[in-house]
Amino acid sequence: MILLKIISKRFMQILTKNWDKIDPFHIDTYARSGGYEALRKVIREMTPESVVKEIKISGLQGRGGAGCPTALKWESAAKTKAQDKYFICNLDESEPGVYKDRTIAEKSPHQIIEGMIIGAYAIGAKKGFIYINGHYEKSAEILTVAIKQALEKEFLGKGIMGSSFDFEIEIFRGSGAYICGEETALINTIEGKRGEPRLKPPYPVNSGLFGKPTVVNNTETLVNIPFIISRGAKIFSGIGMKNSPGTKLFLLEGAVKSKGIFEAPLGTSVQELIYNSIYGGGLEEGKEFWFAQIGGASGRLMTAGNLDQLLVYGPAEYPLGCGSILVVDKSMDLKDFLVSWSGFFHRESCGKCVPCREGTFRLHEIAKRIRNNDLLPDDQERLEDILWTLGNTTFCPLGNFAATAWKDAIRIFGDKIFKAA
Amino acid sequence: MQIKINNKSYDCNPDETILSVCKKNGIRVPTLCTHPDLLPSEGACRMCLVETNQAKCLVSSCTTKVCEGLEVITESEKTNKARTINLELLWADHAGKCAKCKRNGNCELQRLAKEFNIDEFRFVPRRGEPALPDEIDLIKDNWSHVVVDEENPSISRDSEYCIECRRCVKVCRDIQTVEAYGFNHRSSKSNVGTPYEKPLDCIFCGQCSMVCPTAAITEKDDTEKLEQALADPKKMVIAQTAPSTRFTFSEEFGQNPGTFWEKQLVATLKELGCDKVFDTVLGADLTIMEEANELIERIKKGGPFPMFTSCCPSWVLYIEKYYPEFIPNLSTCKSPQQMLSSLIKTYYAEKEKFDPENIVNLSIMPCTSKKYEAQRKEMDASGQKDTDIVLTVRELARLVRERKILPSYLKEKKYDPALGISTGAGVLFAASGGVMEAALRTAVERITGQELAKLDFEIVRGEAGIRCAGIDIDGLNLKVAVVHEIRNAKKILEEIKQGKSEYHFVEVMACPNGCIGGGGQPLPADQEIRNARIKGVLSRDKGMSLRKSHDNPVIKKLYKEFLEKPGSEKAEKLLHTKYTNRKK
Amino acid sequence: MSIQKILIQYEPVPENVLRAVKDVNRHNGYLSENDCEEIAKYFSWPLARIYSLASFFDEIRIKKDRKIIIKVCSGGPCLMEKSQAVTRQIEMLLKLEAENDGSPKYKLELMSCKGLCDRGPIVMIGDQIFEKVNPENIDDIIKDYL
Repeated sequence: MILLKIISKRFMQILTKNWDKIDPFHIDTYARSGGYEALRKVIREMTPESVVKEIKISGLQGRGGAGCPTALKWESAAKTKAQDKYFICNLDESEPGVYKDRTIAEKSPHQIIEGMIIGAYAIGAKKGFIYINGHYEKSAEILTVAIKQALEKEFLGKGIMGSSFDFEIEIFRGSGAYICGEETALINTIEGKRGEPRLKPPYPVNSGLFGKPTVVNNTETLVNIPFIISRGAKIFSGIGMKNSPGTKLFLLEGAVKSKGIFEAPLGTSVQELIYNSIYGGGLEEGKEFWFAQIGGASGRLMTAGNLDQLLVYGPAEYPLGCGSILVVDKSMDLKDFLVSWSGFFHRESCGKCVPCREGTFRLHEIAKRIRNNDLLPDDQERLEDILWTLGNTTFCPLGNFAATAWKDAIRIFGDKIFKAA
Repeated sequence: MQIKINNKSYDCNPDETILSVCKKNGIRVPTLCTHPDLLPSEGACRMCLVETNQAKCLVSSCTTKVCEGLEVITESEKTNKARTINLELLWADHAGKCAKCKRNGNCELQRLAKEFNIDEFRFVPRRGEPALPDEIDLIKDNWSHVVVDEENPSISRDSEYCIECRRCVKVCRDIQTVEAYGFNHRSSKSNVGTPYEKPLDCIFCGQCSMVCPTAAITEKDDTEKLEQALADPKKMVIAQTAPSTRFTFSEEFGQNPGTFWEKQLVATLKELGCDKVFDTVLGADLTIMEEANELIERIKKGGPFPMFTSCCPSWVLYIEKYYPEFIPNLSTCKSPQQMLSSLIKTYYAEKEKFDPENIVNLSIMPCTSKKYEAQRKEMDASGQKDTDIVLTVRELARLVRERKILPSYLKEKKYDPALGISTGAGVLFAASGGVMEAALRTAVERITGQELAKLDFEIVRGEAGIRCAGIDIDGLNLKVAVVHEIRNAKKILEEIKQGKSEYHFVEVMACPNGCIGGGGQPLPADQEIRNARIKGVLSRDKGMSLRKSHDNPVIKKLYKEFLEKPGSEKAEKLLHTKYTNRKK
Repeated sequence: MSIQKILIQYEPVPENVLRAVKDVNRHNGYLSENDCEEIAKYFSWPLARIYSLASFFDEIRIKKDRKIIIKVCSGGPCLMEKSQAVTRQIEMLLKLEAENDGSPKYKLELMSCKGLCDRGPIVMIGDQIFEKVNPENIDDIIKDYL
C-alpha cells in the first residue's frame, strides 16, 4: 500500500509519486507523468562530467545496503580509460523479507531504465545489464516489454534522442543464490563463473565485468536519478538528513497492522515507522512488541528501548541495510528465528572460504540443537567461537551477516536460549 | 619502499604481497591454500590472516599488497584465535584418522594442527558415507557426500580429506590446461571433483597429488603388489630405477634436495628383497640410440616434422586425447622404462635361462603416469605385461619406512652390471632438456662422423617453459625446442598448427622442469627445490666417465648380440610402439 | 526440443553460458551429463567448468529428482505468517521429517526467500509456487497436487 501524505516533516515523494498513474506495460503513461524528461535534459544540456557533479551534490547513497556514495562509483568508472564499460542494475534482491526492487520493476520499470541510461551516459558505457532475480518472472516480463518500447522511442539503442550516445540494455536472469547480490559475485555469474565474490581491490569500477570498468547500482538507487536530474540536486539533498539525503522505501512486515512498502525520508525513526498511522499503524490486535529486525536476515535486533533510533546511511549503531523492518511479537519462539537465520546463511554460503563454509554449517547444527532442546555442555563456548570467526575472518561480508542477528540474540535473550525450555 | 612487520622495517617492491615479503625474510605465516607455483593466491583458507594498521579487520596476507606506511603484526591474540578456530573447523573431518593415512607425517594440515595444538574434538565429522544399508534412508543433513575414486591406475582420490584449497583445480587448469577438476556445488556440500563425479579421465601427470596439502589426492598405492611379489618364492623381482629417482629418494630421508643417493637406492632395493637391480638410465641410453636413428631417418625422408619425444606418458596421452592430429609426429620409441622392461623379459631372461613368466618387473619412477603407461595394451612386447609394478618414489619411501629400513645405514651397492651400466646422457633424462641434450650428443656425432669437442649443450638447459635453438650440424640447421609443462606444450602445438613455428625435434615433458618435478616425487616441491635437484643431475653428468649413450658398453653388446642395429626388425618389435586416437 | 535447437539461439560468448544452461535445465527438468557435454562443446569450454557453474545454483539440477521435493520458505515474514505450522502439517500428512531423506517418495526442505513476502507463507512443490499457504489449505493443495 502506497500512500501520499504530508506529515510534520515536510518531504516530497521522490520515488513513488506517480506510481498510481503508471501502467508498466505502456511507456506513454510514464512519459505523461514527466518520465524521460530527465534523460532529455541530460542528452540535450549536460555533459557526462556535469551529470556526475550533480549526483555528487545530491549526496545520493547506494540503496542496496552498503550506502556507498553513488557519485564516487560513477566518478571512478568515468575516469578509468577503457573502450568498453558496463552499467549494471542489481535487481537480484535475495535478502529475506525484501521485495522492494520487485515492486519498483512491477510498478515503474521505465524509472529504472531512465536511471540506467543517465548513469551509462555519465560513465561512458555502451552496454548495460539488468540482473534480475531468477524467481522474478513477472518483473522480467515487464522489463523486457519496457526495454522494447524504450528502443522504439529512441530512448535506447544507437543515437539516443538524436545524439551520438549509444546504449543497449540486456536482461540477465539470476539462478537462485543470495551471494549473487554481491556486486563482484554478480559480475562473475555474468561471465559464466561461479557466483563467488572476488578480491577487492581491484574494485569493479576499475576492473569489473570482463575486466572492464563496471558500475553496479541497486535498483532503488537508480530510480532516484530522474528526480535528481529534473528537480535538481539541491532539492534532493534538502530531503532527509544532511549526511543521508533522500527518501527510502521501507518495508514493514510481521506483527504490524499495515504491512507493505512505504516511502519515507531517511532519518525517520523506527518508532515512527512502526507506530505512526500512515506507516505501520502499530501492532496487530492482541500482540505485544518483542523485537524488530532491521535490514533482513542479516540485520540487528532492536528492542523497545532503542526504537527511537533514526534510520540513516553511514556509520550507525543499527545499520538500516536494505530498509526492511520485521516486527516480532511475544507470541513467537526465538528458536524458530535462530534456525531460520542460520539455515538461510548455511544454504547461501558460497563455500569458498573455510570460516563461512564450515562456520555456517556448525552454526546451523547448534541452532537445531537449540530448537530440539538438545544442547551439549560446551555449546555456548563453541557458539562464541563460531560467531567470532564468522564475524572476523571471512572472505566477504556474508560471514558477518550470518553472525549479526545471533550476536544480538545471545546478548539480549541469552538466558532464553541457553536454559532448557 | 619499506614496510614494518612486527615492528621491524623491511624493504619491498610495490607489487608484492605481505606474504611474499614475510617469506623472503623468514617470518613465519601459516598458509594452506597458497602455493608458490600457483600465484596469485585467492585467500580462501584464511590461515594467513594478519593485523595491519590499514584496516580494522584482519586481512589475508597472501592477497594484500604492500603500501607506503604499512605496519603488519603477524602474531597476536587475534590472529592466533582466527587460525586456531578455523583449523579446528577443518580438523573435524581429519581428527583421529592420521595413523592409517598415506600422508601421516608429511601432511600440511597435520603440521598446522600440531603447531596450534588442535587436539580437542569439539566438532563432529561432517563427511562420510552411511555405513549400514538402512542408514541410507536416514541421511541427515550432517553427512556430506564423499567421493572415492580408485578407477584409474595412477591417482587415488578420497574427498573425505579434502579441505577445498583448490590447488589441484588451479594446477590442472592453469599449468596443465586440462581442467579435469572443478569446484562443485555450494555451501557445505561444495567439494572439489570431476564433473558428475565421473572417474578421473585426464593425463595422469599427478601434479594434483603434488600440490594437495592432505591425502585427498594421492598416488595409487601399489606397495601391496610389491610385497606379494617379494613374498612369492617362485617370482624373481627385478627392479629398475628412473634417472631422477637417485636425486630425489634422498629427500625422503632428510637429505638436501639434489643429494646423489644412487648406491643407497640400490642397496635399499636389495634390502627389500629385489633379486636384481638394473638402471633405467640404460633404458634411456637405448632410447637415445633408437630415437637418434629415427630422427636421422626422418631428416633423410624429409618428415614428418617436428618429431616429438615420447618418453613422457602424460605427454603422449595429451596428444592422443586432445591433439590426435599430431600422432604421426610422435617418435615411435617406447619410454626407457618400457624398453628396459621388454628387454629384461626377452634378452635377459633368454640369456640367464629364466622363465619370463616368473619375472616381476618393478620400476621406481618419479611419476604417477608411468603406472598408466605400464598397463597400456601395447606394452606387452615380451608376450605378457612388460612392466608389472610401478612404484613412485613416495611409495617406495613409505614401504621402506614401514619395514624400518634406514637407507643411510646400509652398505652401498652398485647396479647389477648386466643391464646396469649408465652414461651421463641417460642421467640427463631426469631434467627438462636432458633428452634433447642426450639425443644431440649421439645424433651430431652420427651425422658428422666426428667426435664432439664440447658435450654440453647449455642452450637447451634452463628454467624457461619453452627453449628453442638452432643447432648447426655440418650445414644442416637443426631447429629444436625443449618444452616443459603442458600449457607450454599447448602453446607450441598451436603455433605449429598455425604455421608460425617450424621445428625438427621437440622434447616435451608434462611436469615442471621435467621428471625431477614429477607427480610421484617427494613432497613438498617448489622451484627452489627443483633447481637444487637439477643441479645434482648436471653435476652427476659432468662427473661421469661415460657421457654419450652410444659409448655405453652394454648398449654396444645389446646391439651386437641381440638387436642387430637401431631400427632393426627386432628393435621395432620390442622397442617401438603405436598410438591411438582417444579424442572424444 | 533437442539440445542443439536450444543452443543455436545463443551466441557462443561467456555471458550466454549461464543462460544456455538455464534454458536446457528448464526444458529437460535437469542438466544431464550428455547435455552438459554438448554445452561444453558449443562454448568450447572444458566440461568441468560448465558443471562447476551449473552445480552452484539451486535452480539448476544436475540429476533427475527421484523424489518429489516440497519446499517451505524459511524467511522471517513467512515465519511470522506461521510457516512453521505449515511445515508441521506437511510432516504429519506425508509422514516424514523436514530436512531428512527418510521418505521414499517425498522430500521436505526449507528454502530461501523468493521475494514474495507480501503473499506468504510460500510453498513450492516441484517448480510450482503456492502463495498464502496456511495449515488449513495445505491439505487440499497436497491432495490436489500430489
